[in-house]
Amino acid sequence: MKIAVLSGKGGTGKTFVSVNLAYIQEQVTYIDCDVEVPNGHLYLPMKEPAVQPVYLPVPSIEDSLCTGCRTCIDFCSFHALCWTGSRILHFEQNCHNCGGCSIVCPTKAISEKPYSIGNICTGSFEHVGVMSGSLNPGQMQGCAIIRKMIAQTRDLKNLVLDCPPGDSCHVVQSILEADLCILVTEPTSFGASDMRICIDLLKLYNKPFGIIINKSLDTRNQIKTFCRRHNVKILAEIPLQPELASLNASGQIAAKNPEYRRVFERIFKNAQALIHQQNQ
Amino acid sequence: MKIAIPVEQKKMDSMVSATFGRTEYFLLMDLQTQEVQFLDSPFCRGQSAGIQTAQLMIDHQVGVVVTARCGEKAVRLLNAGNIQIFQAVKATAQENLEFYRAGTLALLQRPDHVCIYT
Ligand code: SF4
Ligand code: SF4
Repeated sequence: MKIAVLSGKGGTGKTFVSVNLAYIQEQVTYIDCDVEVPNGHLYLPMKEPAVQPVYLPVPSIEDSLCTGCRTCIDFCSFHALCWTGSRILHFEQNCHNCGGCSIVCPTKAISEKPYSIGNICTGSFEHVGVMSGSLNPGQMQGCAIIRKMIAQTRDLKNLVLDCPPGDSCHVVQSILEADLCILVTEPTSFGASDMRICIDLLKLYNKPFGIIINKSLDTRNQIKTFCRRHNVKILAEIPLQPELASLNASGQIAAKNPEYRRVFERIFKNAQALIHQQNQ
Repeated sequence: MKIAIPVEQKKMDSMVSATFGRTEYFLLMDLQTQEVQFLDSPFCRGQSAGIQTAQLMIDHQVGVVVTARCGEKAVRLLNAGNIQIFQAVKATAQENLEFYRAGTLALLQRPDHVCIYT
């Protein structure tokens, strides 16, 4: 099963859920899609990971062929090409790698060269396969890294995709091939508001999903009210426990403790049941 | 050669704008003929304002910019276009022009200067 874990609001415990949900499975790979700030590796440290750089094509300009006609500048919607008065200057960080400028240049002054935007680390922690993408600071094209990780794990059966917070294009890219999405939230107004935004996104993409209320207090809260009213499945409530919080804060896998392992096994079972239901 | 100063209003005694790319107007002065021109900057809203404003300077044959601050990408393009960038002082455009002529303005130390006025 390919499970994507999302949160809307940051800091709800998305990585906490993801790493533990991966840890209780066999033959599973955890993928950190939060390429701007990957932190799953803190829980699932890899010994000597294989590092592969991720390149995207950017234009390379042969000044001697350039007539200064500015066709390329007018074409580029991202203002990645400028005229200095004597030559074309390219801003890599603005470039969306569409390749259009090299097509429109009438003198063929533009060719493409590879430009490094980040890397992918692959390895394992105990029985869990780990893949972690990382985007270089200042770069915007994180989707390319996520796309590459998903392509490289397409044939694997069991994945846990730890998404970035929010509902950005990075999140969309991360959930595309998921069988099920788990939305981790917390019983605060902020948590509820961002959860609703993510639910809209998941409905748009027609993804089966369930909610985990993390740091839950044993009282009525707006998340539960919302879920009841909108017929949204709550997969689990993880109670607010100082012991669990400090275990997690020290980078430990909570599911190594049998009591917590049962919590995540139950979540996994509920998730399987949800998919089963959908397929009927 | 022309000098350009981002200004809040289209007049000589306008204060210098707090930004470069997001300014609404520029004062342009031809240093040989003393001719003054005010330019609307269309980039005060929207993305990549700094880069596009720097391109506007190049396209108007500006040789010197006096500004309170300037982003990294704009600085890169202005440098590539051999445009000198001076740090504005908190005063009117007119006064900054006089300081420039007197040679008392310092070059902008680094892009995205956190302190808006020295
Ligand atoms: S590849 Fe596309 S985005 Fe990049 S500079 Fe060329 S036209 Fe602009
Ligand atoms: S389109 Fe080609 S020739 Fe024209 S300015 Fe761009 S690089 Fe130079």
